[in-house]
Amino acid sequence: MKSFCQVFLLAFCALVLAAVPVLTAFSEAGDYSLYENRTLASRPDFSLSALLSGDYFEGWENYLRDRVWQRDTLLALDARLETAAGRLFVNDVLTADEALLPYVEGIDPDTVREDAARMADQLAAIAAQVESYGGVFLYVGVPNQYSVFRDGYPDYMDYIAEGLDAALDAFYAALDARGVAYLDVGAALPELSSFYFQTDHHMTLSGGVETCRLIFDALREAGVAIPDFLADLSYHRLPNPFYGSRGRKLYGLSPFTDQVEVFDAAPDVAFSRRDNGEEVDASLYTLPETDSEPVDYGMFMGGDIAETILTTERPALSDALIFGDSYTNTIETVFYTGFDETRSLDLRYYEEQSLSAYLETYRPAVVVCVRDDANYLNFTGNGSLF
Amino acid sequence: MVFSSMVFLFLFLTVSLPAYFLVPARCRRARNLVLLAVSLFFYFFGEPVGILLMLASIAGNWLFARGIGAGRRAKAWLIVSVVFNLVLLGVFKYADFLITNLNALTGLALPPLGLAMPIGISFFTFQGMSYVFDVYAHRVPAQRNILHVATYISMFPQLVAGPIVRYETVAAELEDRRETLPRAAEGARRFIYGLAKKMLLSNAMGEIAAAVFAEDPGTLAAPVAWVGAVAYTFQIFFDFSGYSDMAIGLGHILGFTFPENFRYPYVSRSITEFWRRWHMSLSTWFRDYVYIPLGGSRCRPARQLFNLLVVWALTGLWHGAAWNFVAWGLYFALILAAEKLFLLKVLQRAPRAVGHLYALTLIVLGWVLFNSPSLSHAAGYFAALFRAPDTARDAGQALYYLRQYLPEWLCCILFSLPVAPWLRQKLDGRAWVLPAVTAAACALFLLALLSVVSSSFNPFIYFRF
Repeated sequence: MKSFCQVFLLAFCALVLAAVPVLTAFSEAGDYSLYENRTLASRPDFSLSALLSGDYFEGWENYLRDRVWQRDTLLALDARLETAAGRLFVNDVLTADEALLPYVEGIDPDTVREDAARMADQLAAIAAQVESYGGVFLYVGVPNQYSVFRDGYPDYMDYIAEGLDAALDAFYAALDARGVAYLDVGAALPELSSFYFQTDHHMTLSGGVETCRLIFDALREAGVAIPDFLADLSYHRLPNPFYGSRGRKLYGLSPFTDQVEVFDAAPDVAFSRRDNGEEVDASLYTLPETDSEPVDYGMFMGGDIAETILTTERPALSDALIFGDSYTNTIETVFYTGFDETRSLDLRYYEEQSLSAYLETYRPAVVVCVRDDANYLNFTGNGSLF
Repeated sequence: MVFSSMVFLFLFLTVSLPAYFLVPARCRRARNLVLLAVSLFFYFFGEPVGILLMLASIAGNWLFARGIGAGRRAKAWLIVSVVFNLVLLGVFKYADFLITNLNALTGLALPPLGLAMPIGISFFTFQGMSYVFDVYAHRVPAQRNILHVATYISMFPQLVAGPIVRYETVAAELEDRRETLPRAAEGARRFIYGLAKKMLLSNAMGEIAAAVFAEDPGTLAAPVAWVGAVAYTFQIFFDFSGYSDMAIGLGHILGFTFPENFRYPYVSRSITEFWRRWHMSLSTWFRDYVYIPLGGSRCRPARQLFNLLVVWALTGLWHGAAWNFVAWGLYFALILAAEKLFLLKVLQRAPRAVGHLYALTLIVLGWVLFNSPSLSHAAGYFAALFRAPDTARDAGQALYYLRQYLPEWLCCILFSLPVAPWLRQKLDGRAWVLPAVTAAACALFLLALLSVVSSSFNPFIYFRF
């Protein structure tokens, strides 16, 4: 028995260690990971400089890690084992009663005041610039999905919600103190949770439309003439599987299933579209070719694009600029209906000029900044305004 | 290349071990050549340029030992070898530390050398020195064949993170050893345990420690600070002892017997006992090659204290070129001196629990000093450890770390205790034990490999030494 056990252990180890590279070599894996939403590492190119710098060998490690045989199955198995072990967060995702929630770092309430003042100063300067040429500036605060379903966190993690609340209070107080106009969507929109995905951190299309409706109301109050094309919009759900940003991290273990909404009929406003200076199809979202093809939030407005310009050829209306993170994408599907020309910037990717210079160049009559409350005090990307 | 990498497990091992065993056992020199070749490739993989330094270290130490072995001017050769090795270490590990401090002291503006420290330089330099010292002390003869010395210094299982194998330990095995089925199976099992310690326990604790130590100590809550410190205490133990297990296991497979490096250090009842159980290969190296030559304990108390301070300052510096490592070494020197003078006697009379609590507390505090990026950070962290918690946030964050990693916390506590030897003793001789242990090892291997594939957080603490 002793010898058998020894031989068995060695044979087992040898078999596993040898089988994995052989199976990996002969497996046909794609270049893209649907679950991780990223391109997988490719085989490293050999060069003397890459060899001497260590990049070549490091490239092999990344390549093997990304292309190992049955990788998705293995990662799903890992997620399943973590769940079975009773892990609270699996791959940084908490399965709460109503939705999948991310792991959110706590904010120290004592440190937010300074950041809030600094961010409000920046926004006040942008608002002043817009007002200096007769325009209207509106800051739109959208709750992050975590904020909406925050009760799903265990009680002992309430400190995260408390820190976030402190940050929001400090930030809105700072905006008030500087006279910057803002719209708190969390406070203005009833039944907030019905406008959010359960497996993704964004709003649904109807959530985006309702947010846009609130924006238009606020702008009309500020004296901007905006026609109403949002009154009769209705939606239907696509049968396609939806890959949410949180759901995909669980490798198919999510107890929730979202389906993405699209318009029964898009708003009746013709437009042309340019992305990063190139003429493209005038579309608001990309519909899948089949019912089984997976879809994700990136289908709206083509995902995160540095600069998009929608032109409706209605010179009687104002021009507008909307900038922000991906939360703007569903809002943009209807935002353009209120304006002659709508420019959209994502400052995480737009690098040609600063926002201030951009405003000086185009002088849009309406400028709307959309940020989610997890990023109010984030000074990078769309928080880097100068 | 780290043992817990895809390349090592699925490419390096699957090529190097068959290549080694394909050479008949009777062709010992050829097997050693294969071992040397794969070891050099192993190091080249991680240090394509730094390998030149290791080759220089091998050639230098072989030459100096030959000089000593020739019998004439042995002491001069010894001094030259010590200078040579210390210069290697000094230039590549300590030069910028010295320059920075010199600039701060004198107001000079000497530019730092900015040389990258080759992985494992402290380990292979100490092994080279050990060879020369052993030849000088007539414990082993000087090797005529440089390939023997090269194989000893560069042997991949223990090359970059120990255990520090002294030449006399493996001198005989380099020329005559037996690779057997039982030893290979034992080695495989040991390797699996080490890999599991590293991937399943150390990395989880490392995630906590990395997050907590990255926070501003000025705002760190006491419960979180303690959780972070204890997590690091477990991380470094399971990281380093896991690596040692893997090294010892690979040594077994290749027919070598490497020294044990850890013996359940966290069950110690004093710091003196802790250092007999922690990184034993380094402790014995300093004891035999520094402490005893300085006079050891057989001298006046003042001289003993001086010897302790020298050895522990060097031990601290060996771990890294920074003041917090020196402070960490001196911290233990002071505790050990106090124990030598009176504390050990007090502890021996006290209930066992007192000794455990005393040792564990000092060990955890020591790791805070060790893991802090600077002395000011360490001071802030110590202050945080003893700051009164005043908000729910303080407890909530700590609870999250405990709850999220609950299985790992429990396993860390369990496997820090000598449970395995106790079970072995209790169950010895029962027929089902061996198949059960084999099945458990196979399952653990798969779990650890799954973690290798899925984990993106995979640091190795002792690599930077």
